[in-house]
This record gives sequence, structure tokens and C-alpha cells, in this order.
Amino acid sequence: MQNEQLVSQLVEKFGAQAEKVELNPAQPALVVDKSILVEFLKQIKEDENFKIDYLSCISAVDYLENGMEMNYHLCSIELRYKLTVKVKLDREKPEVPTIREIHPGADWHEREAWELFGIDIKGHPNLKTLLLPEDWKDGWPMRRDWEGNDDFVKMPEF
Amino acid sequence: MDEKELHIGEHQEQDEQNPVARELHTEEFLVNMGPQHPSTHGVCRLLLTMDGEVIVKVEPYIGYLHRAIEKICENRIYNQITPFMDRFEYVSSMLADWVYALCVERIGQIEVSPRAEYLRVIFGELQRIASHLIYWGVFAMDLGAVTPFLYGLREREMIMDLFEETCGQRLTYNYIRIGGVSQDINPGFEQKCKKFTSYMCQVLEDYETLLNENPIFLSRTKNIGVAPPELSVAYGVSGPSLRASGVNWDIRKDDPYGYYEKFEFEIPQGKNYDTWDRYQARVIEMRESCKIIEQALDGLPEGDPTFKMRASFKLPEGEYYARIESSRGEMGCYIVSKGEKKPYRLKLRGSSFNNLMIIPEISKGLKIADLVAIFASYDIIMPEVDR
Repeated sequence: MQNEQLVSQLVEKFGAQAEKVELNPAQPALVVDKSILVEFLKQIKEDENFKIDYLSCISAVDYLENGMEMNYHLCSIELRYKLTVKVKLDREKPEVPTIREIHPGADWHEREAWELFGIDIKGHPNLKTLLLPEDWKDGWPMRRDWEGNDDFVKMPEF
Repeated sequence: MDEKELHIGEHQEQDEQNPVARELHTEEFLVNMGPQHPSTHGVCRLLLTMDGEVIVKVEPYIGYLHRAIEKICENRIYNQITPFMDRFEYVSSMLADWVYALCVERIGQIEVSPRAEYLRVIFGELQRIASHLIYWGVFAMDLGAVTPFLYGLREREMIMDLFEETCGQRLTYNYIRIGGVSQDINPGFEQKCKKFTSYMCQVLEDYETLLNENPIFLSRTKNIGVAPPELSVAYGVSGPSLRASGVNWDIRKDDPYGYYEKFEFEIPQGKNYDTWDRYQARVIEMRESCKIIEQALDGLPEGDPTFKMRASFKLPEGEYYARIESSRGEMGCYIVSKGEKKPYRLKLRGSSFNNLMIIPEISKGLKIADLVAIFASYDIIMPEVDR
């Protein structure tokens, strides 16, 4: 099955809850509402036609006035195709449910999104600093509008 | 820190029934392994909860090598980022350059010349052998054998010479650039490279006779740290460690990039999913890499492998998650471009990041010495975890 077909089948199955995004033809992507995220990932993992069982990476992106986004880069080991699931978040109060139950490997990726972007991972039992020092109190450093602390030297414009 | 809670184990209740334990009050204790420990391969702290000699819980603490490469890259133009990729993963920096170049090329629809693709395959596979040679030596050294480390570095030195001759660097190459490679190979490189691969195939036999029948080595690795396929997939383990768990998954074959479809090579798979299989997968992979290099040298096309462009250019709007099979597994690079000279967001996925996550799961109930063997067998490299 080609990636194109995969996306159209998923859109057919989930209807209005999963919306197709035109990105790169090599990278099919869907926008899913955060309320059905866990259920969606569970279904595409268990469904015989999709078997999307491998989580490569989770990347959070801060789009400033356009809110935030969580990108789940998934693929299927057996059927060999890949899928990006996007979840749009409100920048004032970014929160998303944890997917550790379905993909245990999401654990540290979610902790990273929390400590660098301040995205609240609902239901994550171990939200503490991962890469930053334990006593870090200078905000969410990977947000685009982070002003920096005293040690931070900004790069001159090139 | 919830260290106080860790002291209260369920074991106390079980001990009530044991007459010896009833008299001798026992309790769990904490052992700090690292951050400066020779077998953590960098600065990683493992907080072990021990019940006597048996590990009850392992908690890795990472971040000691965090250099905020992702944040730095947001403030650099695209051509300035490649050197940072060398530092992101300095044991196989050639492959780290490749994943970044691949991601930018896929967003910008940049064509790479066939000669550059072939050179990338040759240097990528040489890098894989060099990285596995370090793995081979260090793994044996962690289990108490010093000689393999010397042998491994001796052979790696030959690869370093080949790299130095081509791009002038021995560790951080900055060789694979956006659109091609930085410079063509010197005359006579092919002969030297072929000489090396035939020599490498010979010494691999020596390597196998040195360790494969050593009873101490076998008893330290066989049936230690068994990672079943379902568990490995769930934790996102990748690369030789995943194949050792019996999963047929290699990005070079399953999501091809470069010219890997043109080459014939086998993918080794484990049967027992243990530390021994993870070791064996890498030794076989070195031999397969030699095969790929020989095929690539035979089919090397003529042409100019370099790519001419301005130092500062604007990448079209778009985003892409590129991934390659690095020597440790899936190395990923996610770039969001807004049509600027700099990436809007750059995210790196190191394979050791996920590989480290499974270690607490499979080392419960073992001894500290086994944990050392498991940690070494996953080939964890800390700069890739901490970024």
C-alpha cells in the first residue's frame, strides 16, 4: 500500500476527526484533535491494515501566534510505511495526553517536550527535568520568544 | 528526588517469612553508578536500587553533555549547521552529516550527483566499520579483556587515515555537505580502500576466533539482558540492537535513501535476543559493510561530486523528518523551514536516546556486572543522547 492510500484510508475511517495535511509527498501527515489522540494511535496500532507500531520521534514546534504543535513521527515495522501525526495546541495553555500506554518509548520524548517547551503532558507520572539541570528555573528555553538568562549570549545576525 | 520512597521496598514483607531475614533485617540501598564511570561511555549517571547484589531498579540521569545544539542551530544559516552535526554524534559523525544533508535536500528538492551518492555510501560504510570497531574493543574491555581494544583501534586507525587523506579531519569531518560532498577523493584512494576491505575481512576472522569461543566471554553474554522483539519495538530501539531482537528492520533497505537499493547485502538477525546477539549482529554488519564498499568502489561513476551554491541561501518552505541507519540505529533529523536562511526548528533524534530507555526494563533482577555488559552491548554514546 502506498503512503497516499494510507492517508485516504485513515481519513475515511476517522472522518472529520483526522484531517489530511499536504506536506512532502514522501511524508504523509494528518492533523488529529488532542481529545482523540490516544484512541487514534491505539487503533492504528492494532488495526491489521495499518499496524503502525513504531514511534521514531516526538518533536514539539512553537509557531508563536499560531500556537504550538506536537509531531509524532510513526512508522510500521511490518508494512513499511510511515505517518506523521500532528496535534495542534493552544499556546496559552499547551497540554496533550501522554501516549506512554501505547508507545512506552515516548516517555523521554514527552519529558523533553515538557521541559524545553512547557507542554503539559497529562497523565505522565515522571515529569521532571531530563536534559536541563535539576534546579533550572529560567523558563522554557526552546520556545521562540525565550529571552534567555544571564548566561545566554545571542548570536549576531549573519 | 524521591529517594526516600525508594528505600521502602516490598521485599521487607517477603522477608518476614524467611527465617534468616527475620533475624537479619535487610533493606534496599542506592548505588550511584557514574556520572564518571568508565563503563557508562561518557557522562551518564545510573541510580541503582539494589537488594543485596541484585538490581531492583535502574534510573538513568542524562543531560550532562547537553549543549543545546537544537537551539544553536535555530540561529545559524544552513551551511553553518553541518559542523554541529559532527559534534552531535562524534563517533560516527559522517553519518550525522548525512542525515542533516538528506533532510535539507528533501525539503529543497536538491539533486545529488551520482558520484556524490556513491562516495557517501563508501564513507558512510567506512564510518560504520570504524564505529563498530570501537564498539567491539570497548565491549570486550568492559567485560575485562584489554587486548581487543588495542586491535580495534589499530584497524580504526587505517580508516582514519583514509578519511584524513580525503577531507583533512580525523574525527569531525564536515565532509558530507548539502547537495554533495566537500571534495573529490584523491587518485589512488580506490586501491587503498580495496586493500583495507580485504584486510578487514581477514582480521574479522581473527576477531571471531579471539572472542567467540572464550568461555568467560560466552558466560557473560549468553542469555543476559534478553530483549524480546515486542518490547524492543515498543521502546523504539533501532539499528543492530533491534535486529538482534529478531526484527527484520533496516532503514537502508526499508526506507531507502542514497543509492542503497543498488547494493546487495544481508541483514543479520538474532535468535536469542540477548547480549551475545547484539554483539554478533555488529560483527556480521562489519563484514556486510565491506561488501557494500567493494560494490560501490566497482560502480563508482565519473563526475563532479561537489555542489556549488552560495554560502547563505533560503530554503523553500516545508518540513521533513529524514532518517538514516546510523551505526547505532535510526538517526533522525526534523527540520521546519519557513523560507528563511535559518531553520525555524531543528530536532535531532539520536538512536542511543531510545536505546538507553530500554536498559532499565531489561536489567531488573541481574547483577551490576551484567548491567555493565548490557550497557556496553547497546553501544550507548552520550553526546547523541544529550545533544
